[in-house]
Amino acid sequence: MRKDALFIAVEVDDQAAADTELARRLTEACPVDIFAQKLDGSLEIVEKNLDECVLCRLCLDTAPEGAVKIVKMYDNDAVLT
Amino acid sequence: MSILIDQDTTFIIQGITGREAVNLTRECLDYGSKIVGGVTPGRKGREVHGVPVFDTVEQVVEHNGGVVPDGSVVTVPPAGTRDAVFEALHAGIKTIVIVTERIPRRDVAMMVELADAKGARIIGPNCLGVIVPGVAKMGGIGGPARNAAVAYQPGAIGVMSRSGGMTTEISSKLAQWVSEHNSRLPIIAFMAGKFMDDEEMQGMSFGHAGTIVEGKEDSATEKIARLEAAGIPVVQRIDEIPDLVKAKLAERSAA
Repeated sequence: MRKDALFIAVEVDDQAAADTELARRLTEACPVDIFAQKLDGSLEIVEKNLDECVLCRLCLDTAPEGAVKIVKMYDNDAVLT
Repeated sequence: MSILIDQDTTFIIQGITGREAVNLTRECLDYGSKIVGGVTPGRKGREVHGVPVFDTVEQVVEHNGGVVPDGSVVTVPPAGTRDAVFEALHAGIKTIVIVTERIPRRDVAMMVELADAKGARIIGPNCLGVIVPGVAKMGGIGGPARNAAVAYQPGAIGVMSRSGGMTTEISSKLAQWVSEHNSRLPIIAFMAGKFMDDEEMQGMSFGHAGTIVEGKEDSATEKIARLEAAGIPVVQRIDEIPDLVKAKLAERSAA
């Protein structure tokens, strides 16, 4: 699953997005509410908040390595590491 | 030289799960600062870059075996800042950096009064923080640790600055203090925003809530006049500062 805004895109692999516990932790971790949980508990990327990303990396720390990617579209699609 | 903080200073971040706080937390940790906890009501049990989050300052103290942290960096929104600062002061915290801007003046007055009564010091509001080069920083000052390491070098020169309201007050008080105390401290000044005194800028405001200029005595020209009257040299351009600092230090060494 991937959603793009003007400056930031977020990509989450489908298996991770279906993990309700991970979805809960990502929702808790993001300071600007880029992640939310759908009614079934799976992950939703909140498109209107994408460009609020402050590059804090808390989602990267929360998810298994590679499961979440923050793409800096303003920087030739560089992936936040 | 460390004045307000040193390598042993412990502090907390109030509002640690917020958008400003998460990055400054990481930056401070990377720089070597000792953050012993964070506070965001309702978020106890979480972690931000390895820093445990609690609901209250009291819980942080309890978690640290009853030891009160030396300081707090307050990043909570304006409506909650006064309560957060009161909570820190009542817990016994003595150095409080308030990052939040646009706090009502009445709230600030109350915070400062309580801090005085508690023997504590408030730095801010609308403040980037405090840094001791190569030792520790408390707040977002300097940005990421690698940038802060470049921008701030250890040495004998102290810098006190903040754009906006506090600088206005500092420059005014500094001039008055130097006059009254015949100070021999080597002080120099630079006044930004002189263009705002131009006739075509009259009636316009520029900047943010912290840079409100009120009345003639707050104009750059008036502030420069007060500083120079007190014997404090005011440079015209930022790049004149290093040479003047060297000259001032040489004067002091020769004295």
